[in-house]
Amino acid sequence: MNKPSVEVIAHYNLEGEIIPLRIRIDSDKVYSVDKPGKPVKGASLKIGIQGDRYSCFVDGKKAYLYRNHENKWFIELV
Amino acid sequence: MEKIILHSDLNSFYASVECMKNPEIRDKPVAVGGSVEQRHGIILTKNLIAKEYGVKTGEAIWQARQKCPDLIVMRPDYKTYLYFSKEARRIYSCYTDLIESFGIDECWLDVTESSKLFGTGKDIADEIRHRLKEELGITASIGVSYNKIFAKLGSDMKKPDATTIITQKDFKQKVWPLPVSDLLYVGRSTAKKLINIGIYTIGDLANLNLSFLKKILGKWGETLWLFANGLDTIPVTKTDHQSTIKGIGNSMTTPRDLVNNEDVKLLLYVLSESVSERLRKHNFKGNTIQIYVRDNELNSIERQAKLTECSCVTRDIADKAFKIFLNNWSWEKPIRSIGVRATDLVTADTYTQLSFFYDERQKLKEEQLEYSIDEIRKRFGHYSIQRALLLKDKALNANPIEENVIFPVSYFK
Repeated sequence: MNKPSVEVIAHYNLEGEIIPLRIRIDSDKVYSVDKPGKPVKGASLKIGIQGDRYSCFVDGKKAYLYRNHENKWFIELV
Repeated sequence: MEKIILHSDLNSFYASVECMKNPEIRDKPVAVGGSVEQRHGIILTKNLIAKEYGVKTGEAIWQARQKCPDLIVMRPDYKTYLYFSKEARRIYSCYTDLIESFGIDECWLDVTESSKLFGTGKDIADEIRHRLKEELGITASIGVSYNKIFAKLGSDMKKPDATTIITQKDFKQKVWPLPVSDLLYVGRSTAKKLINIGIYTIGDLANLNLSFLKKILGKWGETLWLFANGLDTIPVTKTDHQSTIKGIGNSMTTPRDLVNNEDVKLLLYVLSESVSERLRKHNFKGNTIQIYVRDNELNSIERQAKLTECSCVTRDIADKAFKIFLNNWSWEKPIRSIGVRATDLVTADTYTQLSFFYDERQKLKEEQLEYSIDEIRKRFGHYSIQRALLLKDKALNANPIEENVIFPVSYFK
C-alpha cells in the first residue's frame, strides 16, 4: 500500500522543536499547516504509521501529521 | 513489604509490528520468517489468525503453508523491531527505573515504589497497555504479581491485550493447575523427567518433597521448587537487552549441509573470525571455547574445552574449536548448523602468565596482525581481506557480524 507521504517545510526553533509550516501532497498541491499542536507519540492503525503526531488543520479540515523514526512525514485526514 | 512486579510481553511482537505497518495484511494470516533460500526459512512469529490455522513458531515455512496456504510471510526487519522495543521501554521508564529486559519483546518492571504515585499494579499495567496501543499501535499481555516468576506466568495466561493478576492469596488456584512445562526453565527434558515420576502440574511440583526433588534434578530441583511455591526472590535488575557480556558467540544455519571435516573447518574459521573480531572490539580475551553442533534432524550437542592461554586470535579459537569437534563428532549425520562461543572472558590488557614453551613475540605479532585486519575491514568492507581457506566455498563464507541477532539472555546473572 502506498502510504500518504508528504513533503514538508518546517521551522526548527531554538529549543530544537520542529513545527511543520507547509506540506506538499502529490507533488503539486501545497497547503499551509494551520494551528499545529505540540507533537505527541502516536500510532495510526488506519495508515500504518507510528511516530511524533501533530494535530493540525489542513485546507480547513482536521488532520494528523506524523513524523516517523526515519524522519519521513505522513498525513492522515480525520 | 510485598513487591509489585509486572511482566510485559508484547503479543506476537514481530508479526504485530508488521501488521501495524501494513494495514492491508492486518486481517489475514501473517507470519514473520527467514529467507528460504538461505535455509533460515522458519516461522519466527505469527499473528493470532495464523495461529488459528495451527501455524507454530519454529516450524519450516513450507510446513506452515501446508496448514495455511494463504499465509503471508514477511521478511524480518530487525531495525524496526529494535526501534519499537526501545519505544516500549520508553513508556515503561515513565513508571519505574527498574526495568529488566528478557529478550527483545519482554520486560520485567518493579513498580513497588512507584505504586504510591500511579496506583495499584493493575492500574499501572492497564495504563501501560493503553499507552502501547495508543502510541505504538501494538498490544501487550501483562502479568502482575509479587515475584518475577508468577508475573511471567501471568503474562502468558491471557492473550492478547490483557492484564492478569496473581496474588499471594490466589496463586494456588491460578498457578498450580497449570502444566509444569509452563514454568520458566522447565524445558523439554526436565518436563519429561518430571512426567516420568507423575508430576504434571506446577502444584504437583510445589507439593513434592524437596530433598526427593533434589535427588532427581540436582541443584535445579530446589530452584524450580522455589519457583513453584512463589518463593523466588530474585530482584528485577536494571538491564538493557544488551547487558554485561559473559560470552561472545556466533552460530549459523548453513546454506547447505556440512558433510565432511573440511566443510566444518571452513565454517569454524568463518565463525571464529567473527567471534575474535567481536572479542577485540569489546577488549576481551576468552579462556574457554564452546562449540555447538546440530545435525539435519535437529539433534544438537554442546561441548567445551579450555584454551592453554586466554586469546582473541582467530587461529587459536578456530583450532581449539576444530579439535573439540573432531573429538566429539562421529559423522553419523550431516550438519545443519554450527556455532562457536568464547566464554570465561577477561579484559584484553589483563596480566597473564607467560610461558617458556610458547613464543610470546610470535603471539603478539599475531594479535597485531588481527587488529590490522580489523582496521582494513572497517575501511574497505568485510570481504576486502580474506583467509585463503575461506575462498574454497563462497556459499559458506558469510559475515555473521552483519547478520547478528539478539537472543534472550539467561534469567540468572
